[in-house]
Amino acid sequence: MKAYEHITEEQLNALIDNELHDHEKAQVLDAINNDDALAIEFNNLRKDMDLLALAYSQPPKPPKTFAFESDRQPGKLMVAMAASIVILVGVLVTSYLTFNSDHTVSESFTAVNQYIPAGKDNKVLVHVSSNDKERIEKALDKVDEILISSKKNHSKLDLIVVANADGLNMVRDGSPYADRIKSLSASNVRFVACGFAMENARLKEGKEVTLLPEANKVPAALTEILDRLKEGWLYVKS
Amino acid sequence: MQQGFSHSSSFNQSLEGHWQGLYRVCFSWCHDPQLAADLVQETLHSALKNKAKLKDAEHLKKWLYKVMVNKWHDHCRQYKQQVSLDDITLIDDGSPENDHHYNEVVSRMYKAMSLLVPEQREVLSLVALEGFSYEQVANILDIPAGTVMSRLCRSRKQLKIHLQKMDAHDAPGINIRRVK
Repeated sequence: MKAYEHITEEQLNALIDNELHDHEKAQVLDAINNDDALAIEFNNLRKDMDLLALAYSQPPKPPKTFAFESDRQPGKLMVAMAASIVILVGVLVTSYLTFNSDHTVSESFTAVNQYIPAGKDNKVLVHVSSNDKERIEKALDKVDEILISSKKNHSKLDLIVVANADGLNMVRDGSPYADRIKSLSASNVRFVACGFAMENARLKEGKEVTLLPEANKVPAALTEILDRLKEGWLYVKS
Repeated sequence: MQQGFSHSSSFNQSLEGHWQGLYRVCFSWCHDPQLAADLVQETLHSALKNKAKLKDAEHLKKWLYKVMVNKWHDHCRQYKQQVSLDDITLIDDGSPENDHHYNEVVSRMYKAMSLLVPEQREVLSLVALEGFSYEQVANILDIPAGTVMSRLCRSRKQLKIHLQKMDAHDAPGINIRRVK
């Protein structure tokens, strides 16, 4: 909309950083509310900043132990060692479950199935960000395989499928995968859709996005993913 | 005026309390955990050495980041930090500490940030990661507030372009930059 061309990128940035005075803030917010393109731009900017903050929320620790004025405390070494062991286990798990796109599906499943230990609680997150038919089917196949493996091992399983970006189409009303999702949902697989992706789709299409009854909206898929990674969930990307 | 602050044990405790924030920001500039830790350590030692210069406890945080910026700039000058994009070495060092970062989402952001020029990374990290105001960043980096605003805007725009390019190429793998 031409009417809001006077809103600059600097002003959008300043709004995000809470650097605008009340009058200017109201002006920019009004423009965002009335200009879909501007709203998309603002949402994307905000999303990138949320991701930036999350990405650096836990930077990798330095190779040496650095504890300012505190490295003489005896308990810290033990804590560091224990943490290293936990992290090492995590890396081994991650190395099994971080699949490159050129891996075959069967190789991926072998890896996943190797990490569904019998009698244990397992938490797995499957991430779908593409609308590509083959990729979505692979993701749903993975979910099936994990369920089978879990049942075979008599292990408890908490499985969530997170859809964002173009992957949103998988869980939208009218999705060609509705039957499969319904069936998986009956096996306690949860499906969630990214709020940012839904908002962008709404602005692009000019109407609200309706999800399949089995899918729920979350504020941001990336937050969902990173929070769960921090909690030790297994991450599977299709 | 808090003359006693810099002489008290609470000063050391306050310094410790800033370690994580300083390290996070410094890591976002260099993407090298060891270098970031070294620079933070140097910053804190320098702060201890010069603590008498700090007159007001309220300014401690800003002061520490200003000291760290100087350490970082010194390092860049000494080691010619301005690496061209072609020279960036992408590595997966396999260290356990990087566990949570071995996921596509985080590593893409690291890569996108590492592709920004240092001046853009500095402004963006100080505002977006540590929540400094434009005026405070202007003071820390010793540049006009207007420059902070325009540089920040360019940083975000450039970051978005890098992320979009990576999405378009669907680049797999871990991309963490080793500072040479």
